[in-house]
Amino acid sequence: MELFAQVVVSGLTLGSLYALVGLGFVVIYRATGVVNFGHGEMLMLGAMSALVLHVDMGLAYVFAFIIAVAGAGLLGAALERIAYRPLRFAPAVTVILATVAVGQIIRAAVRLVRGSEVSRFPSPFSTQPFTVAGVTLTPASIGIAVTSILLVVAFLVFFRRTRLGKGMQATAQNREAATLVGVSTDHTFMLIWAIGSALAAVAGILLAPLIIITPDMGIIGVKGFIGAILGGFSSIPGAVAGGFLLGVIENVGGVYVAGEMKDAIAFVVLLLVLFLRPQGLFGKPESRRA
Amino acid sequence: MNRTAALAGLGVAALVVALAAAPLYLPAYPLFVLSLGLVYAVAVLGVNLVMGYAGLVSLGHAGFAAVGAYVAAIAMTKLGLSFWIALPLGGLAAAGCGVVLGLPSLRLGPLHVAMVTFGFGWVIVLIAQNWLDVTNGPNGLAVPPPRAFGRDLYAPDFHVAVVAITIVLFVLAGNLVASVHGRAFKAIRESELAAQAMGVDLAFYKTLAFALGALFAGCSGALFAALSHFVNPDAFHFGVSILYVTVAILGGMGYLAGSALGGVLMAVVPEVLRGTGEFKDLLTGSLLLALLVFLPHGLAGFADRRGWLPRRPTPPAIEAVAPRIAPNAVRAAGSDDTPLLAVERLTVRFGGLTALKDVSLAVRRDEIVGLIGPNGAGKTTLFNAVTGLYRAAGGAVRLEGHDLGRLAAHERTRLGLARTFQSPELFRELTVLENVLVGAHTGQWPGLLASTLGTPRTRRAEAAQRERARALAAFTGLAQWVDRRAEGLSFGHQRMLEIARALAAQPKLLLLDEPAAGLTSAEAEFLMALIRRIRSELGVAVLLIGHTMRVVMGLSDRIVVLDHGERIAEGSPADVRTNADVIRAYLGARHA
Amino acid sequence: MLELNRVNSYYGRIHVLRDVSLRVGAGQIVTLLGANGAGKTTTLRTIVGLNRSAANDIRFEGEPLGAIAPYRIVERGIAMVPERREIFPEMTVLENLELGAYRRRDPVGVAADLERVYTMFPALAERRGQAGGTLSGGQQQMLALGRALMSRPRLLLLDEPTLGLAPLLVGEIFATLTRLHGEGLTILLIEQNANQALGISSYGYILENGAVVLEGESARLRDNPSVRASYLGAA
Repeated sequence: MELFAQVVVSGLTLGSLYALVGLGFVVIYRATGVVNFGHGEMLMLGAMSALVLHVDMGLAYVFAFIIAVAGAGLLGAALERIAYRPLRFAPAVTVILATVAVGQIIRAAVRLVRGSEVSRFPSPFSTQPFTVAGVTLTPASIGIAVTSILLVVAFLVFFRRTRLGKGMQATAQNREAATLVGVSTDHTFMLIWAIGSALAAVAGILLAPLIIITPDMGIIGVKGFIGAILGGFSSIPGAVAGGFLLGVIENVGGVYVAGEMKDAIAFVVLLLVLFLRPQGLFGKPESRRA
Repeated sequence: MNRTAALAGLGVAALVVALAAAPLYLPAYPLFVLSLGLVYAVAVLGVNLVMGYAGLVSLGHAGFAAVGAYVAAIAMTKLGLSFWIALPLGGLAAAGCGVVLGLPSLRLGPLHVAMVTFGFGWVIVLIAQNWLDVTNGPNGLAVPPPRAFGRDLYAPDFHVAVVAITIVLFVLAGNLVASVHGRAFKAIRESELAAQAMGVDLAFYKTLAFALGALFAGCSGALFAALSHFVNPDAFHFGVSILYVTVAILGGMGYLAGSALGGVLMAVVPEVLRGTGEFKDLLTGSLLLALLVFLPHGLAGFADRRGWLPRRPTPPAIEAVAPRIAPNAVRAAGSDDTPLLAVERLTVRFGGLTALKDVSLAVRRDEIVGLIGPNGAGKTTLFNAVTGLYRAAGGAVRLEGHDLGRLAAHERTRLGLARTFQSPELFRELTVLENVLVGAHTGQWPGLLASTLGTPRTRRAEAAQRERARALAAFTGLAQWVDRRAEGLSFGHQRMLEIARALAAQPKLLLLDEPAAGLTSAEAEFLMALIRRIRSELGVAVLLIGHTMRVVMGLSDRIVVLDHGERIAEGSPADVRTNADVIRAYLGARHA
Repeated sequence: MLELNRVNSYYGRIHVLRDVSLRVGAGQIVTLLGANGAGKTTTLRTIVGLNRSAANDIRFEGEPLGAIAPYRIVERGIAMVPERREIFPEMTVLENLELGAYRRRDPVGVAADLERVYTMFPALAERRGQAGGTLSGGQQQMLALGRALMSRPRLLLLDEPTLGLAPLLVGEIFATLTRLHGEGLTILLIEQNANQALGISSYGYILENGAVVLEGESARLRDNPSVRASYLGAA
């Protein structure tokens, strides 16, 4: 039982990161209709930039964090302007492929600059484990979970309570009506991409101490994506919950069932959801006629 | 046969000979690369079938190739089967996966299908990496060379087999895409709505597209295994799937030659870029992005739009002689009192909104009936319910006395209903002729096997249908535009094309949704004459929705008026025009 | 106040508006009539820029509107209530109304206008916390109208505000429009319900196939048989 609790708690920690990544996906999708297959690479870019700034260049963690995230945000806005705006009326497949292409470009560019060398990122929090109620935790894992949750909450507050956030919601719900009340679709989309990219970068930086940093670490983005689908791509809280849930499922499955096939669990979950309940656990079914 | 086609044919023949004879003049390694290119071309062809022709999405296509490769490898190593059996086995195993993967596409939008195929690609690789007992994991499986004529075929000898198999597969694919089934794929790609309305069974064809796409990729995988004598998961990761799609787009989606070119490029270009290290990925990513933004139709598409590709020669325009289009001499069983179409107390609801309430109307065999009503009255909803796009909450729709029940749209077309849409739903990238041919989908056509083999019977059927389609095009005034893409027509001609296409289905009843909207006066006159001819010469009854009263009142024997989802009046045009309820519905109540 | 001079509009290849000229004087209610597909909605969309080429001569209060991005139209003082309402279904009534004031910088004025809208539409006041998508058709129409009013427009464009509404609500909508007009609002109204629209407007244009075929003072048009012919064909 203790093992189970342990596994669940670790799963939640991991899940909080998936939730953060998934949030970025869903934010972009809800407002612009684009599924960003290059999201994982933005995550990797965040981690890499922070690595360079903090480890290589010796900047304080906080500054490295802020600069890396801001950079990712700017890049996201630039990508929207340059790559995705021309494709605004192209078929869905074209846009999906464009995001894949962008992801590939980012990954290759980073690999060119850094090579495939493997790096480690020091944790800003202590990694001294301590035990509570039979479950072992580290301040680092708590720090990650708390930061993720805070960011999700902060985003939700922004989205639901500020004028800009409501403008974004309006654009997502009815683009033309939003234009008629004065919300600029172009500006909104750029802002959405900036925020989504920034969220991905944050997730990458938070994740960095936990894993090895390579140009290929963007794979994690896929997990966040799957978590969002599990929870329901059409609802932000749903997507976030799905991320947490996926983290737990993966950990539990990895310990009790699959062992080395741990990575496959996420994809099996993906296929199951898409075949059996495509709208996700908490999403609304797509309305169809006849 | 015109000169361009003859030259193209000669060129292709020369190319084939050059390819087959390559072992004579190419050193070992370049020969291997060429063989590999052809093997890739087969997989790219699979992607092309799913995405280029059918318009679906496949982001995990390397997964199908992996299935084919591993199944073939295991068949050869653990079961000791010959390569010539392992190849089709691998293809079929992959096709089976394709069928399963095609299932979500029947209910879900392209986004979800993209995600399913994406997930599939990953799962296959993960299975290959971790199912050590069967696949040997990352260490891979060694594959023995194929045997034929009592000896082992290594790369140079195998090359000829690769060429032969590739050519056979391309020819079969070519036959298929040129047939009625290929046109059905393209119709689905251009407009699922219109395809359905013309009788195309969406479920069948979408599943078929995935099955075939997977089959080709599976064969490619098996060939790959035999060619490189080795199978491991690295050859099938996500990047490879994206590479397939990239070169498919580069070559040209929807063009066979494009797949051949793409496949060869996929093998050759990495060799050329060998020294450049990491730039390779950067280049391919940038290439894909640039293609998507600037050249979405690829090289073949670019050439086609410039007119550089050889086209089927156009026979001389023919007279619009109505007897060539078999008039509807088939009178259904049942007395002449049975109306052709009987809508009985039809009710349609969307959530809490009742769009149609207890609406009844009938159309007799030789009638032209007009359906009018203010905006939002439910006219198009009625059409959609009659043709099967909407499900009725109450009431019945009877065609020649038979209740259509819950028959799907494409099945109703088969029974004799055809329609046009409020805004033309054409197959934009298909020619006028091809659009009309899709309309004939419910006619007599050779089956899948015959079409793929390209039997003489298939060619005869195709030729006969083409002639019929040309006659229909001429009947609607489009004789000189038969080879023009639908999107290039003027709006008036587009409306006529929709009618020609609907007539190709040999309907008993034609439902026209605002056929005169947007037409100039002259075009409207032509339309009126056309509709009269449809009734008198073709024996087709007509139910038409319209707001252009000159047209509706001028054509209709009888008019039914809807308002707020209910029938409020019925009668001759003169009666309806002066009916107080109708006037009030359109113009509103007068103040005191 | 609003002037269109020989405006042409295309939808892809289709020439939907042909040399349309019309005028709306300050303080007037002008109505645009015609059968479905005649080009009425396209005219409004062309004015706000959702369907426009810069070559068109459209002037508002003397200034050309030709090149302005659609999202800036509301800043100029023009608000539009689209056909079929087009509210924000997942946002509350209050949020919908607040979004109408998206471009305004005077919170005090906005709050005052919000009270005015609540007073004018008590049904909205009762449901201020309810999601827009759960309102009935009539309530959504009021919401769309209230949202447009929240930008304090000088010109209000309305596209078939009574579409799909029961006769009682139709009367209410028209009464509200009359009241707003009395307070000084200029209105360009599209309606299929010609009689009522001609009843409250001072001038009318009849569109057919994208062109103006008839225009005149509303009182005259009401009795003109050509109006009926435009909808139902010549007798």
